[in-house]
Amino acid sequence: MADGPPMTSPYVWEAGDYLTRVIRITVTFNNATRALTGATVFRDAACLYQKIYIGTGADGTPDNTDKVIVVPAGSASVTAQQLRQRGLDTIEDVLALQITAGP
Amino acid sequence: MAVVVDSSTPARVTNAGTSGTITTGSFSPPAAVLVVYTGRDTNVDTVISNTGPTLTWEPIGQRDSDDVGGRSGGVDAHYAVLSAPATGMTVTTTIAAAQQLSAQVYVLTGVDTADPIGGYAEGSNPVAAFTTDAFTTELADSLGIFGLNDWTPRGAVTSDDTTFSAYLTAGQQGGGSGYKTLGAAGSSATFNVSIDGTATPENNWLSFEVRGAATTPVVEDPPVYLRRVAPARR
Repeated sequence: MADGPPMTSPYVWEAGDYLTRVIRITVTFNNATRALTGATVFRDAACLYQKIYIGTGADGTPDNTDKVIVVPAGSASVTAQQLRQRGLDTIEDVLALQITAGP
Repeated sequence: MAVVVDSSTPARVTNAGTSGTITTGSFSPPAAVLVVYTGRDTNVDTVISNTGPTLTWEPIGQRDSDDVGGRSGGVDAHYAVLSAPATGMTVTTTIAAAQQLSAQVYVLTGVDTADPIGGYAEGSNPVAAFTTDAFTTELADSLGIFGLNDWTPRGAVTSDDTTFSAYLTAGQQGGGSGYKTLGAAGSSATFNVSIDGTATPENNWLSFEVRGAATTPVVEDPPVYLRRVAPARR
C-alpha cells in the first residue's frame, strides 16, 4: 500500500452523473482520536444518484449494504450518532469500505 | 456518429482503504460499450467481472511500475461490448492485493462496436501540472477518455478540459478519470491535469479514443424526370 500521512478531516467522496450533477458526502472526524464527528451530504436536485452506499451487502452488491444514506436535494447533516448506528465509529471504519452511489 | 455517455452510467466506486475488490451499484444499460477506468495503488493487474449478461472484457491498456519509466501504483482500462440491454447488472474490479483502488464505469452509446478503441497514449510525469502526450485521432467526434493515479500523498487531482471524476484514498493519494469530445480525424488529442500538494508526484496516466460508429448513409432513389415526347409522325 502506498505510504502517506493519515487522512485528515474532512474526507470527501463525490460522484457526478452523466450530466455532471453531483452527490457528495463530507465526513468529519477528530484527527487525534479518529472518531467521527458527523457528516454533511449534498445532492444537486436533478442528480440521478440519490443514495450513498457505504460497503456492500451479503451478496456483494452495494445496493444491499446496511449503510445507506438517502440524500435529499441540497445539503443535510448526518450526526455522529447516526453514523455509529450504521457501525461507523472512526474514519478508518469508513475508509475500510467501498463507497459508491445509486438511484 | 458521436459517442455519448449514457444516463445509466453508474457512480464512481472507491475503496480508500485496503480492500482489493470494488463493485458498482446496479445499473441498467442499453446496448452499449462499457469502459472501466481503474486507478490502483499497486502494480498488480486488474480483473474486471460483471453480473448479468456474459461479457468479454478486453484490455485497452495499463500503466504502472512494471513499465519502463512507470511509477508506483497504476492505472488501466478495459472495455466490453454489451450487445443487448441489461437490467440490474453490476461491474466488479478486483486486484489480487489488499490495496486502495477506484473505478469509473462509462456506459457509451454510438460506439463502433467492431473496433471501439482508436488512438492511445500513456505516461508518467513527475510534475504537478502538465498536458499529456498526444495521440492522433482516427475518426472525427470520437470520445477521449483520460485518467491518472498519483501514488504520492499530494491530494486532489483535477482536469480542466474534461468532465472529470476524482477520488482520494486513505494515504491521501489522488486520482480520477474524465472524458471529452475530440476533434477531427487525424487531430492531436491531449488532456490537462493538475495534482494538488507539495510532494513530488508519482503518477501514471493513460488516455485513449473511443471511436464512433459509422453513420449509415441514406441512399435515395435517383430522381425521375418526365419529358414530354413529341407525338410520332405519321
